[in-house]
Parts: sequence; structure tokens; C-alpha cells
Amino acid sequence: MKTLPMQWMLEWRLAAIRNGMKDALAYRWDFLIDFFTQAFVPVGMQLILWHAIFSQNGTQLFAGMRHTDLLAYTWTSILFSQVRGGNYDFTLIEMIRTGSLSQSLLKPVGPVEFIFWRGFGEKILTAAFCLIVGIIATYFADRSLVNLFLAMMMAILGNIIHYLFGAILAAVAFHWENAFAILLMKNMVVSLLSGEAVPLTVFPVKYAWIWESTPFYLYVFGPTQMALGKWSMQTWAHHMTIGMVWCMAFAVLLQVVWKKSIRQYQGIGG
Amino acid sequence: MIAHYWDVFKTIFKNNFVKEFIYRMNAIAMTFSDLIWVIIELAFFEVIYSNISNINGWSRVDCFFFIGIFVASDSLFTMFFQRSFWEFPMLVNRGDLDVLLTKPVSAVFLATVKSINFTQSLNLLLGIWIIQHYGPKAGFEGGIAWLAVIFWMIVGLATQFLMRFVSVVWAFWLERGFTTSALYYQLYALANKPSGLYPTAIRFLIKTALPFAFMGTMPVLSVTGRLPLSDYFLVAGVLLAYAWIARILWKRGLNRYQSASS
Repeated sequence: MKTLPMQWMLEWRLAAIRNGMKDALAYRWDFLIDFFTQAFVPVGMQLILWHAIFSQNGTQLFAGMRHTDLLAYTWTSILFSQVRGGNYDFTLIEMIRTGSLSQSLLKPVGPVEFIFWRGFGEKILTAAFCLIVGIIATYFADRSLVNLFLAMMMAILGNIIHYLFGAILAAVAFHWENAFAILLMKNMVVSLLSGEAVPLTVFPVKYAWIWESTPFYLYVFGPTQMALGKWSMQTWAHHMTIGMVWCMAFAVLLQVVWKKSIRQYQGIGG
Repeated sequence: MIAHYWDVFKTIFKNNFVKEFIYRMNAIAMTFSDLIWVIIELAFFEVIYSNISNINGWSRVDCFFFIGIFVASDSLFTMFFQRSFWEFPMLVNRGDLDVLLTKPVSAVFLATVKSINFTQSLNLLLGIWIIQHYGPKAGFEGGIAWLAVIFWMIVGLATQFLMRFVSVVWAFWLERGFTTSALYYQLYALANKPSGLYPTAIRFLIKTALPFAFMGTMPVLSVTGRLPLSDYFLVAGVLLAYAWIARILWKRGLNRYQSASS
């Protein structure tokens, strides 16, 4: 097979990102409404919980944290909880189930990577928006801009890991025909173990191994700790290294799983 | 008349069962994913209560008991109605409601029970198990008091049905009715936490305009003998008001409905 020119390899990826951005902005009100409702409902629930624990219950310290610490965590975590997500792994399942994967297989770019870059386009917009909000907040909250940028880098790495993991799970659809449930399960587990629902430091010490042994804490908890200045550069670098190892492991596993699973695929259609 | 509706329901039930198990592995996985949702809810409270013993009078055991009642009630709604309500806006927008309007049974009945979700059946059992396990520690006596649990499960089912109906019926006026469904499920986050966790204004809201408290908090207070008598009247009043609003909106919606189908 003829090797595709390097420039083209870059061009199609950029085109896919642009396409994802345009798609998100085509329904810009939907984009904004989705963004705000998805961001503020979990935050609202956390704020209510902290209010109940501290203001109504008269508690001074909760898991070693004061009310202000938890409020700072909750507000800062919004910046990253919107970057981490992306349900574009569901698109892969739908393509396998409906047989529309056949068309993608005829194209010179892999469907898994194409879906990723397209979804990534939307997430870049989200990340840029969150970064602007974060920069404004940093100015008023006396936090470090460098920390904010490093935190956003971690959140983006988290987004990549999240997609790779989702795409591996999506391969189940080759065997089961419909595998939405698997991805739903993953999202539920992630919502608790990413630090989006509550800070992971609230977990009892004996259960800390649960979140520490998954990469999900790099989605929201890690970036939030970094942005709040709770992590040093060394800690950040350590966790980024862990994240990259996860990323590489998932990338290899993805190749193996898809190569094996796609042999099961039968696209029947006119 | 009831026998006629029962026959229709049996046919719908049978058809949905076959449809569900075409993708049987997904159905099994879906059942587990629903179980995981409950486990996540329990884990959330376990994490919170590992740091504190009581929040506004709600202990860890009270919260688990609350989850049991909420899950049992919610699983009934999810099993019989949830999917149909998601599909309701499409019935209106695509003009498919015509077919239901011409049938010799109520169009509301057909539109709201046409898709049954069997994957929730385990959650119902899990909810009952949680009630049985944590109930005695939370002050639930069991025995005849189970009738009260069943009563509140029916109240929870009716509450969710009416609220959901009022949220989707706007499909007659909106181009796409999904936004109101999405909004409903965002607000639904208020349902799966006991009212003791909320400030006074939200406590009032979930007992009146958005009566999510009827699915968990009020049943727990009732079966443990802590619900004031006035609240029973409040439940009846709010549900009647919702039923009245739902009926008016449905009638007005039908007057506005213009089919696009051939």
C-alpha cells in the first residue's frame, strides 16, 4: 500500500477537528444550553450538599476540609468536568449496530480515529471556553495561571484516555450487536471516580485504592487539585506520566481489540 | 372495559419482551448497568457518611432506606413508562400520533405504555431488598407496614407519570420536545437525595411544584411514622392539581395537533 503523504495525514485530522467545531457551533444555543445545564446541575447538587453539611448541620470540618475548600473545589471542577466527557464513543457503537461502519471502512482514514478528532473539535471549543472563564477567575481568586494551563493539559489528556477506554468498550458491539449498556455503566462509574460528584479526598482512606488504581481521577480531580495549587509541579508531572502510560496501554489495547473484533463484523445493506 | 385494556396491555407486554431480548446480551448488560446506578448511589452516601454521622436528622441508615424506597418506586416507572415518554415527542412531531388516535383505546394509554423496559426488574427486587435490610434500623417495622410501602410506590409511580406527562406534552407546541425531557431529567437530580439535605426553599419546591419528595422522602417519613397528617392532604392535592393540568394540556395540545403523516 502506498504511504500517504505526511501533509495529508495532518490535513485530514485538522479537517475533522474543524468539522467537529462547526458541527458544535451550528446549533450554538443547544451547545451553550447543554454546556451550562451539564455543568451547573452537578455543581448545584454539590453546593446544596456542602450547605447542608456546614451551614445547616454546623459542621466545621468535613474529611479534613473546610466549607471554603469544598466550595473552591466545586467551582473549579466545573472547568474540567466539561472537558473530560464527550460521548462520541457512543457514535462508534451506533455505527457498528446500524452497519454504517461499512462506509467508513472504505475510506482511507480509520473510523475510530476519525470519530475521535471530530469529537475532539467540540472539546477544544469547550476547553477554550473553560480556559477563558478560568483565566478570569484566576485573576480574582489569586491563583496561578501556569497551574491552570497545566491543569487543562491534564484534563485534555483525561479526555483522550476517556475516549480510548470508551472505544475499547465499544468493540463489544461487534459481539453483542448493541452495547449501549456497557458505555452507560462506564459513564456512571466515571462520574463517581473522576471527582466530578465529590472530591476524591472525601473517600475513606481504606477505599482510596479504588480511585487511585483507575485513570479516571485524571479527568477532573487531578486537574482541579492542580488548578487550586494543591499539587506541585513534580506531582503534576508524576500523574501526567501515569496518564501517558494509561494512554499508551489503552492505545495498544484498542488496536488489538478492534483488529480482532472487526473480523466479526458483517455490514449488510444496500 | 378494564378487561379490554388488560388484553391490550398483555399484547404490548409480550411484544416488548420479544423486542427487548433480540439484543439479549445488551439487555443483560443494561440490567447490570441499572444495578450499578444503584450501587453508585449507595457508594455516594457511604462516602459522605464515612465523614459525618448525621445530616439534618438523616443518618446513613435513613439515607440507605430512602434509596431502597426511591429505587423500588423509580424502577416501576422506568419499567413501564420511561421509554414511551422519551418517544412521545417523536409521536407528535412525526405525526405518528394519528394512528394511536384512531384506535379504540385511549391514546394516552397507548402512547405511554407502548415501550416497556424489562431491564429494570432487578432494580425493583434490589430496592425491596434494601428496604428490608435497612428498614428495621431506620424505624420501619415491616409486617403490615409493607402495605404502606406498596401504597407509596404507587404514589411515586403516579407522581412521576404525571410530572413526566406534563413535561412532554409541550411537544405539541415546541418544534422538538426533547428539551423539556432533558430539563426534566436535570431537575430529577433533586429526587434521589433526601429532602433533609436541601435548604428550606427547595424542600418546599419538591413537595409542591416539583413533587419529587413523593418518591422517596415522604414515603420514608410516612412508613417510619414521622410524616404529619397535613402532608397526606398535600400529596393528594398536588397530585390532583397535576392530573388536572395534564388533562388540560393534553386537550389543548390535541386541538393544536396537525398531523404531518399521510
